[in-house]
Amino acid sequence: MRLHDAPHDESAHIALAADGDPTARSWVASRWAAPLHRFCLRMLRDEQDAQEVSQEVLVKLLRALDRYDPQRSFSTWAYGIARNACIDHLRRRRLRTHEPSREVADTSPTPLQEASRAERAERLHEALAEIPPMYREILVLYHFEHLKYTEIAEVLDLPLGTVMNRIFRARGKLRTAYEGRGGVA
Amino acid sequence: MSTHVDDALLARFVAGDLGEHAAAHVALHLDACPACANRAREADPLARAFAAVDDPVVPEGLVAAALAEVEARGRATDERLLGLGLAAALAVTASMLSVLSTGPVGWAARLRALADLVIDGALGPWLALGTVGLLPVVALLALPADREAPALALERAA
Ligand SMILES: [Zn+2]
Repeated sequence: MRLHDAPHDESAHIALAADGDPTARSWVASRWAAPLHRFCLRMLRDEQDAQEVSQEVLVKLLRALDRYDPQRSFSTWAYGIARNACIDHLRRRRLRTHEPSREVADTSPTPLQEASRAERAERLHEALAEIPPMYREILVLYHFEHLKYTEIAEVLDLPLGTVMNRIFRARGKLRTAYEGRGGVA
Repeated sequence: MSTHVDDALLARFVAGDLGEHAAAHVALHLDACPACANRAREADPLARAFAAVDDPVVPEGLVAAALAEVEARGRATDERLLGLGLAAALAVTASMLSVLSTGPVGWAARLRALADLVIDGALGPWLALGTVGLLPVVALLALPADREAPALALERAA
């Protein structure tokens, strides 16, 4: 589902939830749990971390609802909170350990062979894990969360031109990583 | 949308072969034109790989856990506010009582003395003390519950 096609009554639920209405609060949490968890999982690449951080993000979001400006897009605001939480988590993880660029098994794939759907998905995940988070986040927001370019600029708080530069570079890096894993683009 | 992005420009966009002004110009069109946005997505060399990825399953209990935490933290904040409010009220009351207890004998005389002090403005320090007691409550109410400022360390993390 594209997030900007959110149901029209979302703003009413958000307003009610901001006033502490428990039913509306639960509605907002249920509506946003999947996209925020999905985003965190793709950024953090770890089930347990993603669950922990997405819960933290939902809590922050619900507790900050009274400070949400309804003139702004709710989805870019929500992804902004998730993004900050993921960056903080990645930073803490890097301090704790030397960030394990996630043991990727050397599967020595056969190049040029037609990959199955599952193989393509697996290689894409590995390639995404390989590129730096600043490039990963932009690709996740565009290709998985289906945000528009202007919405990504809002989430990242960057000018559109800078976002485009970064997304071009991100796609290049991803493609190199994907093909390096034997993936045929 | 009157003018769509032509094939040559779209190919350069997909290849990442445009300067940031031209890229932003195309991006604005794609944001507003689903037809061209679809063309761009389909032309992406990794389109099939992205399409192959399924969405993860939301962990069971995530929503319930988040709601319970919000509830618990709301209660904790209420209790903290109540505690601070009580402390402030006690501080003000204690200040007043100390004025009353050092005044003349008899409650009526003491109350008169207190009224005189208020009228003279001599109670200023005590009122100031009460205000100081109330400050933490005001600060707690005014401070945001959660930090929202964007973390800017991603570029450094990269
Ligand atoms: Zn168009």
